This record gives sequence, structure tokens and C-alpha cells, in this order.
Amino acid sequence: MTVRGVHALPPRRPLRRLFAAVGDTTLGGLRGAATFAALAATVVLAGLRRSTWRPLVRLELRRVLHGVTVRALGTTIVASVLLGFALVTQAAYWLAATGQTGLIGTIIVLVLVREIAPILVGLIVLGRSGTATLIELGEARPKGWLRLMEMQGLDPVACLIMPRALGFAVGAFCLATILITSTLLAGYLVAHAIGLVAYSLWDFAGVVLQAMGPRDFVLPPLKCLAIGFFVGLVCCAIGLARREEGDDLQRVVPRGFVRSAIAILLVNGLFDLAL
Amino acid sequence: MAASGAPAILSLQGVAFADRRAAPSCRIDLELGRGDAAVVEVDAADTAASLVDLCLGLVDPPAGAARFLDHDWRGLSPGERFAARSRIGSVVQSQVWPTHLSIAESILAPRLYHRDRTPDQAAAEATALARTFGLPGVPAGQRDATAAGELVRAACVRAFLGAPALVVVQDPALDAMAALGVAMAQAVAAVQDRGGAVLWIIGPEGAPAARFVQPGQALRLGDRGLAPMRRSP
Repeated sequence: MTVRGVHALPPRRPLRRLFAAVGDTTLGGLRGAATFAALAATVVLAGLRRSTWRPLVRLELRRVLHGVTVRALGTTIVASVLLGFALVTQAAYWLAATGQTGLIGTIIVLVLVREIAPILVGLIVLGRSGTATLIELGEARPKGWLRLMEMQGLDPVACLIMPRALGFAVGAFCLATILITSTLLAGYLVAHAIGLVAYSLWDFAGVVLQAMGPRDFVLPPLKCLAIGFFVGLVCCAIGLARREEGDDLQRVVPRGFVRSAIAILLVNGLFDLAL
Repeated sequence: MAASGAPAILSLQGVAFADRRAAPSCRIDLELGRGDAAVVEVDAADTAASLVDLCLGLVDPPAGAARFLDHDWRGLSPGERFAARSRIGSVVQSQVWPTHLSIAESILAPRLYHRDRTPDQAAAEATALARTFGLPGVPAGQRDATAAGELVRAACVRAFLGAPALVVVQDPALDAMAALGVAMAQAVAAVQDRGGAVLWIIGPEGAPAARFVQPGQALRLGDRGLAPMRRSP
């Protein structure tokens, strides 16, 4: 090797380091995605096995469902009243102004049922129950009770993750149903009160239902289930990944919140492709 | 000592520790048969925790074999390990309880999960055990609302509930509670009479609560493994 050859090597190093950094980040991301996909598959398969549904798991699911659905009922109804006032009233007003009142059902289905309700419910579930899960499970390993559960032969997937993921999924579906119904009701009442619509509540409901195609009865509910499931799963995965108290909860919770929000938008986007 | 023909309940054969604090050459041989009880004195809390992890199959030893009821932990799938641990009670970290469950729910959780008791049976058995350990009943509150002494007693209830084949005790808070000595001795004797085994791991400062127990083996874990220890009366 010549002296010139030796001196020719250093300029390549920053480039190699750049490639190495990009490669490490990419591989790390892929590994994380693969691990998360494996966890999702494990939870789904465990949920399909009858033997998983032991009394303790059923109790935990009931507790999670109560937390996700019943405790978020007030928030959901307040949000739906505000949304009804803003969305339905505005739609009725502007469609009436442009002489397109016949499109109100289509607009409501497109905007409320397909888009806003799943995302808003995902955010409500994330804000109320997801952050609580992040804190709760974020303490499981550092405080030692995850080890304690394993000592007692309690499978964390069956006892902690699966009830939360499925509870969040069913809870999101229930909340979305309540949100859509109460948004339509609140919107109609406000629009009717200020004279924007003249027809009855049943006619209004009929207009909305007629605007819905068969896929609108299948895909939006599935979207809500998927959003709830992934919010629950992301919160569980990030919470349980906290290994020691040095990893501050104040960093774990925002990390979980951001990733769950990304999951909500990602699932929403994927379902929009199908719709 | 194991009865002839019957497999040992817990068997550690040439087991090495994975943690760095234990001497690298330290190998453990320990066998607990049906009706056996052993007290093992350990210098460091980390080593005691590692020994518990080995006995319960939470970690695999880098060398040697850890067997429970004649099954090598290493050969069991995760599901089989969870099922095997349903037969092990442990008084470990008595101040640690899941935050999302009440103390009563935490005590009953393993029995409800492993379905070896109906909820009513488990609750009745837990209440009887709670009275044995000096509680009026199973504490119903959350961990933060329960006194430290009650948590230790509740941890004992949790460990002895469900007729475990093996009970592992490693809890400095319990060791210091001499008032629990008689109740623990009775509970340990009941496990032995049933054909189970008990392993009590204590620290170098001694364990007043363990003085009432009459172990078949009293051992000390040193740099060269387990050695017989003479217990002070």
C-alpha cells in the first residue's frame, strides 16, 4: 500500500459512517416493526384461542372495557355535541346556501362516519385510557410487579396486553357508535332549532342512512376496532418496554402518545384506501 | 431429601449464576424432595434474587440444570413454564403489588388464571389463610392504602394459597417480622405434610421469622457453592 493510498481512505469514512447510521436506523426501525407485528399477531392468536379466556382474563377485559367506554362516556358526549353543532349545522347551513341540501346525507357519511368519528374516538381513547395504560404498564418492570406476575405463572400477554388491546378495540367501536349517534342528534336539534332544517328527525336519519352504502356499515366499524386495537397495543408495548426507572416516564408517555397518534392516522389512511 | 422413587420437587445440579456478583466458580447443588424444607443464607440481595429466578425458571442457568418436579426449566415452553409456576408459591418482594389490582384481586389472580380453584373456593381459602397470618380477612384495598405489615401478611397468603408444591421465601421484610414466625412455621409444616417443599432464602443479618421453622437442610451460599450451616437457636 502506498502512502497516497493510506491518505486516500479517510475521506470515505464520513460517508461510511453516514451509510452505517442510515443502515442502523433502518434496521432498527424494521426490527421494531417486525417485533410489533409479531406482538400484534400473538395477541390476535391468543384472543382466538378459547383456552386464553380464563376467569382472570375475562375480569381484566371487563375492567378495561369499563375504563375505556363508561369512563369516557361524558367526554364522548360533550365532544359529539360540540361536533354536531359545528359539523351538522355548518353542513346544513352551507348546503342550504348553495341549494344542495340533498347532499347533506352524503356529506355527513363522508366526513363524520368515515373520517372524523374513528379519528376522534381514537384520540379520546388514547387521551383517556392510553396515557393511563402507558403510566400503569410503564411502572410494571421498574417497580417489579411484572416479575411478580411471571413468578405466579401469569402470562403478561394474556393478563395484561390482550385484555387491553381488545378492550380498547371494542371500547373504540362502542364510543364511535355513541359519538355518531349523539353528533347527528345534537346537530339535528341545533339545526332544527335555528331553522336550518325543516324535516323531522326520522327523515333526517333516513337521509343519512340512504347515503350509506353497504361498505359504510362494515369498514368504518372495522376501522374503529382496528384503531382501538392498535392504540391499546402501542401503549402496552411502549409501557412494558420501559425497563428501568432511569427511563423517565415523562419521556415514555409522550413517546407512546405520538406513536399511538401515528398509528391512528396510519390505520385511518389504510382503511381510506379500501373505502 | 427426596423419597426413593419420587422425583425431587426442586433440583439444582451444578447450577451457575449468570450475575456478575456471584463468584464465577460458584456452582450450586440442591435437592428438595417431598416434605423437605431448606434455609439458605445468602450474602447479597442480588444473589438471593438470582437464586429465586433460577428456582422459578425465570432465567436459565449458564451451566447446570434447574429442575422442578422432574422437568428441566430449559426444556419447557413459555406456556409450560407459566403452568409449572402455578404450583409454586413465593413470598418475594412483599411490598410489590400490581397497581391496577386490589390486594385481594392480586392474591386471587393466580388461582383464577390457572383455574385450579373456583372464585368462591379461592376466596374462602384465602380468607382462612389470612386469619392464619393474623389478618381479619383478605385486604380489599389498593397497595398504597394498605399498611406495610399487612402487605407482608398478604404476601404470605398469596404464596400459600392454592396448595403449592414448592414455596420460595425471600423477603427481608418478612424475615424481620418475628411475630409471623409461628404462623410461617405452621404454614411451612402444612406444605411439608402435604408433600410439598419449602426453600427459605435469608440474608446474613438473620431472619427472626425463620427461627421457628425446622428445616431439613440449613445451608450457606458462599464462593464455593452451598455449604452446611449451623443455625443459632
